[in-house]
Amino acid sequence: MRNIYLKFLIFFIFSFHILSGQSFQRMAIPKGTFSLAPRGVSKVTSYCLDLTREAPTLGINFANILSGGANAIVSITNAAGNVSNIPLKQAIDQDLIKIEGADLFDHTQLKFVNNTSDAIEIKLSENLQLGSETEKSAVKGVEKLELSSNPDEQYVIQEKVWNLREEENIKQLEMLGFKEETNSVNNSIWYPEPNLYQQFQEKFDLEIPEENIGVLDEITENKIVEEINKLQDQLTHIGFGGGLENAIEAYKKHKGIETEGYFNSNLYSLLKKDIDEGKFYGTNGKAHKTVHLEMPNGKERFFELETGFYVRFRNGSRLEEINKILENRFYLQEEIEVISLVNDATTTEVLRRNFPNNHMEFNLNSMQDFWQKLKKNKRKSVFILGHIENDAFITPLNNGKKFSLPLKNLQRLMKELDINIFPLGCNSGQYTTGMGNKFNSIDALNQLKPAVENNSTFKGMLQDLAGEDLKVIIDDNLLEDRGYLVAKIARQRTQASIATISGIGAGAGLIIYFNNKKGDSDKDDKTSETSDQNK
Amino acid sequence: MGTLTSNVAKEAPINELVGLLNSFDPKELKRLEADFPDYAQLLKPGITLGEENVLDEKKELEVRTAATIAGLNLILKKANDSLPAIKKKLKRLNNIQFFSQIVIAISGASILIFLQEKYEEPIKIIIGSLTLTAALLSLYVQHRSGTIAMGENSLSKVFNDLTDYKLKAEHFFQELKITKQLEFSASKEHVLGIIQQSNSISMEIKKIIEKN
Repeated sequence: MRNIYLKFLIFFIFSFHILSGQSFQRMAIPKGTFSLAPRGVSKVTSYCLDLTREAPTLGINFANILSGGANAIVSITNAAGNVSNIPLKQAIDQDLIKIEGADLFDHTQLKFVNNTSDAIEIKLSENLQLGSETEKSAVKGVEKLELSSNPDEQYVIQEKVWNLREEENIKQLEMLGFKEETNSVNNSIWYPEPNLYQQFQEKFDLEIPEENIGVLDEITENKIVEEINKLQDQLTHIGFGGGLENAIEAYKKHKGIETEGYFNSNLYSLLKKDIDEGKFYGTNGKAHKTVHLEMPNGKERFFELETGFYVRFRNGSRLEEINKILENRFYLQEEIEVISLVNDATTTEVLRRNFPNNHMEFNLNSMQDFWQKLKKNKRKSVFILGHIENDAFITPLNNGKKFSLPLKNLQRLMKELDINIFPLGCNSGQYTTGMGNKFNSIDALNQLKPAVENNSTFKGMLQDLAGEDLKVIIDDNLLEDRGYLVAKIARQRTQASIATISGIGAGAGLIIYFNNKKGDSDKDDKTSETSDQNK
Repeated sequence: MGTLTSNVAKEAPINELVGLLNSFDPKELKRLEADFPDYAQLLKPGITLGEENVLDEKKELEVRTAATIAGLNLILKKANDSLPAIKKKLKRLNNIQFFSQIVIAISGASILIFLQEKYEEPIKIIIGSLTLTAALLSLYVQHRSGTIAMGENSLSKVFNDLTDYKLKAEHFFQELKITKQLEFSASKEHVLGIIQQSNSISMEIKKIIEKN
């Protein structure tokens, strides 16, 4: 009686712990089958998963299933012997059973309570993880723990579980740069001073109740997870992907810093610098600069190869390959055509002046017109200059209507006419190779002229086109080698024809000359014969 | 930004006006750039290939109006310079026409007389050539002045068009000046319309000036 009274008093005195927001340990019940008599109570061996938190106390509701409950079944046998099976969660929600703390601040056992007048059997096919009513986070890997329902084995197994959990926690904290020499987990120093959890809480200035200082409570744990994810994202951002541990090791190796499992403040500084400078490291360790450009559908990341010359970020794994392809894409000037869809007199003047023999002005009324002209001209690499709106080239006509050429039609045109098309319109690089900003039509033409004239590869041409005011974006649909060979062969044929004609002409000229010469000398001979005869 | 703000760029283009100023009065364009330094892109020849963001509707309208007034001023000046010259040309062509018709008439009469008499070959050739030349001249004059076919390049058409544009330019010029003084309290749609029409006229005027 006195014992019960004492327990009740202690429970009452310490009940403020429940109200003050103290985090309770998450608990695991081993898999197995547990029988409950009608209105019966059954204590079950349990294991604490959080060393530093408070153990569940007598009567506290611990039916918040965090993991392992998906296949847990409750079999209810009524007086008539009929058995009905329902999921454990449903049985809890319907208040058919309860799971509660078994004793005052006791982590070694929990109790199942049968609220029905029927016999109940609880079948757990895997370890069940439970938390207090307010608990939201589950410990990972509970299903792999080797737990036993035998209370005699509880103590030994519990130590192993705590060791495992603390090792995981400390490893995470190390990854975040918290390392203490005395943080090895063993019987005598489970609470190293100063406590790593406390250090973490102080560094991030976490608002937690005083009794949770140095405790891996929910707030602290969530913050650790948040920082771990942030570190992982940051490393991925600069090219070190894969699991976090591998990413950390790879980054340390890259920077030539040897610290075992520990991401120290020096590494954090280097990481911050790399992120601020927009660095991205390829698989070969080569550093590339990346920037974020404002595109119509939001900010997007690109590799910046040179000022104004960018490659879309998603092509990162092919960066070297793309570079090489463009370097080997040759062109001849006679295959280039510049088409202006700009209805502006000054732009047209500049177009005529800069590209006198290979331009097309805007005097179209329909898509068909445009198609016919492209087919007729037979150029192989076409730059289309125009205003883009809602993913289409739009030109207002003088009759109030609009000429529209959707960007998606360009792909079709390219295939059907076997030509390259570079859309020289604002933000045409939003979905494809094109431009990455707004720009002036005349600036573009004036920049394009020397770019075409002074280069023989598309890479050189596009690099010269690019600059502070003209951002060129390269995507995976690169300019094909459509025109170069054809134009080269055509040029060779022309040269050969000219040579042939010249040769024939020269030959004919020589024949005529010699014939004439022979004729003159025959004539001379005849004349001298005649004069001789006359003599 | 309300509906009107987003329409200012689309409904009141000034690219042709800027182009005209750039070609024939670059100093005036520089002055506008100095007056509106934040609108250098708008006052640049050519067009911006992209949606133009209008941050300050009133200021945007002010800049476009100022550019239009400058452009219309130039149009009036050019029209005033060109019209007398075109008129002179038309007059000259008219005189040539008159002279050639007199020659045709005389030649016609001469031919009838000379056919009765025996004259030397050269004289017959001269008279025939004169008649032919006069006839050809007459045809040329009619074609050039547009009295046969009013083609795009005919002087009569150019004269008529230029006169028409000049009248419109005068009208728009006065309206814009008043509107500006009243700080655009009048219908903004009306002002946008004037700017748009002025822009179109500008393009046509430039073609005329360059060809003549």
